[in-house]
Amino acid sequence: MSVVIRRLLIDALKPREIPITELSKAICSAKGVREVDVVVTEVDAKTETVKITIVGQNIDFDEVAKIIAQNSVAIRSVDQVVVRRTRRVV
Amino acid sequence: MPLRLAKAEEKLRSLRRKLDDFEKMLMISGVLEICRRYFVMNMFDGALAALGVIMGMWISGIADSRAIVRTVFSAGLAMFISGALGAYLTERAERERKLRELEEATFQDMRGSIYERSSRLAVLVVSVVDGISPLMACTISIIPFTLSQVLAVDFTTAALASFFVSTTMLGALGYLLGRTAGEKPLEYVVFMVLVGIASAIVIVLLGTHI
Repeated sequence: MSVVIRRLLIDALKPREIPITELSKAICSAKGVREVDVVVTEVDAKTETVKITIVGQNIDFDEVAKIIAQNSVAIRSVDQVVVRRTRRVV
Repeated sequence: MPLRLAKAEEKLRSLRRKLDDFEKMLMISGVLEICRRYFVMNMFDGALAALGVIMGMWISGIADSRAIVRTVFSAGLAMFISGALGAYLTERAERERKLRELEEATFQDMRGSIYERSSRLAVLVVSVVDGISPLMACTISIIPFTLSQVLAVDFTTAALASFFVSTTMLGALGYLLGRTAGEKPLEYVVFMVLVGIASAIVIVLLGTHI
């Protein structure tokens, strides 16, 4: 039995120069991630607030957080988590 | 054999990743636009400076190709050092300030992030372009004088060829500007060539009266 993360909703702040296409592609390359949805919710002079929805079979949060930081994006909060208990380790 | 092939494929993939990363950093830093601006600006500087030195030596009666090559190339080297160092220091200061501001805005340490690496790459690329463009212009301008030593061509022919090369170079820069502006490149070409010719006339007229 193990508990795996299936869905994450992250509220983050990113520099305006970082394109969301590149950011989403980078996050999607993380282990266990199947789909990434990035929406810009607020635009500031230097930064943009983005809502990142990550869907996958077994999301490795640490890896996702590392990729997000490497892309110069700051996680402000994790607003939603969907986890599932599975019979076998995925 | 398959192991070697697998290793080669892995190396190729790694190279591709690095190239993608490089391209991404160039895009994030917005350095291509800055470089295009610096390149045209400094090459224009270099071309006119070389033209000035060549015309100045010509009206002074120094009909020595080797002296011209050395003088113009030295001037180009000086412009390379001043351009590269100046751009390095100013661009670095600007990028550092921007990075600090962004760190404050996002409450995050940007060290090692793609934004910080892009900034460092931008500083390097901008200083290289800023330094190399006037040197390139000076080097191109003295090609006729270098060739004149090999082909035993007289000084006046070499000077005229150099003037032609310099104005052609200015015309090419005009074309590049016109393409960048998305307007008719011919107008920019004509303007730049006229600037070259006008500069030469001013140098000759003023130089003979000094």
